[in-house]
Amino acid sequence: MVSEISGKILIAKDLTKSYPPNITAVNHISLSVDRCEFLFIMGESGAGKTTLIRLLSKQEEPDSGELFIGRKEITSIPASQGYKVRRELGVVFQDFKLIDYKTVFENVSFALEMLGYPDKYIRDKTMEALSLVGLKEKSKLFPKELSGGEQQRVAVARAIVNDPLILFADEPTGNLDWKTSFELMDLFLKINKKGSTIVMATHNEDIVKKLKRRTIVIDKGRKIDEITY
Amino acid sequence: MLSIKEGRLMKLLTDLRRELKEAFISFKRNGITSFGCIIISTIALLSLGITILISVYGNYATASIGERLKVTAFFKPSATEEQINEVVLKAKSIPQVKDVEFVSSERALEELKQNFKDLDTVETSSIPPSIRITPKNSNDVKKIIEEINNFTGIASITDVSAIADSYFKMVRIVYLISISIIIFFFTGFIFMVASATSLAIYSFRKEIEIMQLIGSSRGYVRNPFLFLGVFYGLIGGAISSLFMYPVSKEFDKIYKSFIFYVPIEFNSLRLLLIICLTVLLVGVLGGIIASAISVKRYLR
Repeated sequence: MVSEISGKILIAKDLTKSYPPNITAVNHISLSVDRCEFLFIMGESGAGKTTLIRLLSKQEEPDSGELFIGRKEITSIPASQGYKVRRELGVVFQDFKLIDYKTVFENVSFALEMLGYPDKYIRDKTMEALSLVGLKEKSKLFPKELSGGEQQRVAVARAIVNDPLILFADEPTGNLDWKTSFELMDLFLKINKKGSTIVMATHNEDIVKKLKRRTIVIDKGRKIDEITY
Repeated sequence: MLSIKEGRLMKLLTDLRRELKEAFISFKRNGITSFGCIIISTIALLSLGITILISVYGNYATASIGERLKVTAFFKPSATEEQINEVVLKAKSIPQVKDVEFVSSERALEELKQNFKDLDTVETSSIPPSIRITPKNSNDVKKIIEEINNFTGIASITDVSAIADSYFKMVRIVYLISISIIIFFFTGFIFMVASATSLAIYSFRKEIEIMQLIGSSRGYVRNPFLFLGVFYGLIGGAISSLFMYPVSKEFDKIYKSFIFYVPIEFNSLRLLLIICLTVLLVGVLGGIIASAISVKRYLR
């Protein structure tokens, strides 16, 4: 199994997830992601993108199927221990999910604090991540003092600060205007060029066409197409 | 480079600092509930402190009164020396008896004159000889009286058990009332802290979700809420400890004015310190238990 995984950072086999009463959000989806790849998961609203991202990032458990991240089989890890998997991943959400009472610096640094790193390391890594997203000067501000694009940049900094195996982004531009969305995509490309693997769910065809990266198209929970540029 | 031990200590300190900070934010965010919690915890812990005071003073007074409780058995005027000696020996052999002291008519008269100086007309012959029996335990007075009543040569016995009984009954009632008050307020304290913690968890639901999504462990999410309970207990304990000093002074005065014949021979400042520490400890434990109930229920 290890040899099958090698070269791939993520392998999903036949992932299925249903919700009562009778909704199959993800229906037997299989996919794989290479190291340092930038993969799009595209589909209309309600196609199952968010559920798929949630399954891939161990935020939810599939009803059936297998998931490998790095060299680990993830599906057999109990949900109660799922946080250990999530620690090795980075996730960016559509609604930013920042903590209002924490400053920009604290919002990013707490992803390292919970891992128990020493203060100096946390400080340096946080400032490094904030520099990368261009928010070093705003580290002492609170999320409400930032624009939507800046808030999403903070979320990106938090997601990359612990050097994740894969950076998942679920509709990261969903709450942003056209210009800010493309600025954010430039940031994702910059992060990808530095060697990070990115899996991004989006319904924005313009972004997908502009970036020209491998894209998996899903509809009604099923994988219906795969576009390679 | 840090050693593993130093690294662990650093993590512990970092975690503690963060948990305390977040507990304080929860405390501030639910200001009115926190205020209510502190009032209830202060009342509950103050009632605990006062009950401990009552219990210590009560026990001390009970022991002192018990030591002074003596059964006096008067001999018939016709009792011979042989009969008196036999009664003394028999009384000493009663298992509940600590000590037996023979009091002659002459000594009894002398003591009487000492207490009542204008009693010049009383003669030795009008006071019969007696024995004074000290019980091992003040609760055994009735049993001793029953035994002595069967001895030959005994004319009458002074029954002090009724006085003792009414005193012990009063102490028991005070204990019961105090314990009921503690249970009442302590239950209120637990419910209040548990509710405040639930409210804090609810108001932090967004932050909790974020922490869980990012990979926080259960402890990382839960501990600040446990500390919130500790805050309520600790602050309530500290305020009630501050109140304990004037309360204990007042209690001391009341005690001395009612039971002036039982001198207090213990260090009341040390007692106060022990009570304050107990109150603080119980407050912290109560706070942890109460918040743990909510954390277990709402943070699965």
